[in-house]
Amino acid sequence: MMHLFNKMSPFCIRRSICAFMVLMFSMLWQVTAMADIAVIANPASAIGSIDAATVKRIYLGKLKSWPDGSSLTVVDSSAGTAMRQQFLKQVVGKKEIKFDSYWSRKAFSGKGTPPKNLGSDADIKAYIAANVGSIGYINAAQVDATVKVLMKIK
Amino acid sequence: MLITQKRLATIIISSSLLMVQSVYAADWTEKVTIRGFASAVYQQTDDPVFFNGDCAREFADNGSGVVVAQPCANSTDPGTVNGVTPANGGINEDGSFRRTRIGLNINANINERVTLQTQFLVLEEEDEYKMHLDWGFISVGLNDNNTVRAGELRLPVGLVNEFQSVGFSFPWIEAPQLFYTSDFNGPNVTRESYRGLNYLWQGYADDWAFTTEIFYGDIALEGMSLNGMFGATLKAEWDDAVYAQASTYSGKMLYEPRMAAMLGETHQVSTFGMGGDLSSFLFYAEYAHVTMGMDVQESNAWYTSVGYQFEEITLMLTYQDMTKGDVAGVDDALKNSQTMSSASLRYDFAYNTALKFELSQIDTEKGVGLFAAGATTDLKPADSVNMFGMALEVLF
Repeated sequence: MMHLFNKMSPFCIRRSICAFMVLMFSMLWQVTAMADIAVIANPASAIGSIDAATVKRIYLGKLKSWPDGSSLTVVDSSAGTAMRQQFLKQVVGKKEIKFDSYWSRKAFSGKGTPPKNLGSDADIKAYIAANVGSIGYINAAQVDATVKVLMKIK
Repeated sequence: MLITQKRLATIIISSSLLMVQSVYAADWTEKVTIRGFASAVYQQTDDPVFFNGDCAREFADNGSGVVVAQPCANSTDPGTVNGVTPANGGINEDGSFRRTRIGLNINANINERVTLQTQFLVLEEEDEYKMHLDWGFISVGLNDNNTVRAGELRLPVGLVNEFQSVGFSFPWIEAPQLFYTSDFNGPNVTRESYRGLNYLWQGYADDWAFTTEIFYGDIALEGMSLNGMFGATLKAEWDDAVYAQASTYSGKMLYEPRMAAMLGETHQVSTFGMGGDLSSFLFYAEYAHVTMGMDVQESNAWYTSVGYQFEEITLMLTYQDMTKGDVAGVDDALKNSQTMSSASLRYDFAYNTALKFELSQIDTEKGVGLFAAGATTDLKPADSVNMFGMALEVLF
């Protein structure tokens, strides 16, 4: 029995290392891979879809209400996350540091209020599901029937 | 109409109380936003005379029919340099943390159109830190483009004046002081805030953003009061990357002007500036012309600053120039001409946190400029003075 174990162990060790490496690689891939982002609104919203230029204007505070005149509440995700950095780079066209600096100049001079920072996808989804005039963005994989997708970013 | 401090405070407090009731009635966490900033700043020069300090000095006839600058008030007091201590402001060879400040911004959305916005600032004043209202106003959005604001507002003159306290929002340790100082000995271009009304129009067309502001009110400062001030600012911005701004305002100098000859005279300021943030290339340039009723107070100030951002590191080179009273007919002893060259380094080492270092050389060609000294008998600064600064900037 002991002999058999000794014979098997190099293989088992190699297989364990391989499995561990595959696991780590897949975890790393999940962290670094660009996730699809969904720009979402409340299902009751009259807006069916939106383009990237409009989303950019909303997140820079240049569009303060929906086209039908109803009030607009803008929701942002956690600072420093890969998804926020991807969204700001692809849609708003700014690095996170420049986006935050832009809003610090507006907020601390009393000329604007930055998007409401809610944190996790679940928090954002719950907020938008409860507030008709709100807009936000989450990982597209987290979308469910409580929210409506206005735009997808790949 | 003169809006007194007491009357304004009464209006703001009573309005706030009424509005706060409605805020509490609703879910206040939805309605109220609190954010802040902090700047820990250390600066030191290699000269004993204080730079950018408040040296109160008079101009008077010397008995021979020539108007000359008197020494700084209390200039012979022991334990001071020209009557000035760090508590009066200013940086000298002993170094100082006095530009350290903490700001707290509270924003209450009363309803879809009305917000109450306030910002408190904690600053060192006379050897202790004191909190005061930086600005506070009620904002009424008439629609998406038009807003009326009333209360104590930042003066919308100059590219960075409105957020001058927030060190995180610009690359230098301080906004260029030969342009932006609110010290009387400077060019008197900008003031921190005014009490009154502001009409703000913001419009957008494709990649362009346009802003127009018309403002009216009073500015109360130690040593001077500007009343019935009326002004306008126009700004055009392309793709949040390049912008140009022009401003003008004027008002009557009343109530204890530092120099009696200025009483009732008009203070007129005109500025023009351009700035940009093109990918990694940053630039700022501004010019201002100021008249205050006397040739000796006529000023020109300008600066240009260019830099490059390498990911977390930003390098800036800045040149500032100020002349005051440097016009024909003014006695040479009263003319001021000063320049300042700076190299600044900013390192954004963590989210919303930046470390800055700055080296400056202050060259004084005529008079004393922003140094706290009189033109005649006070201890004079060296023609060329070096200044070192470092700062830690945080947003929260």
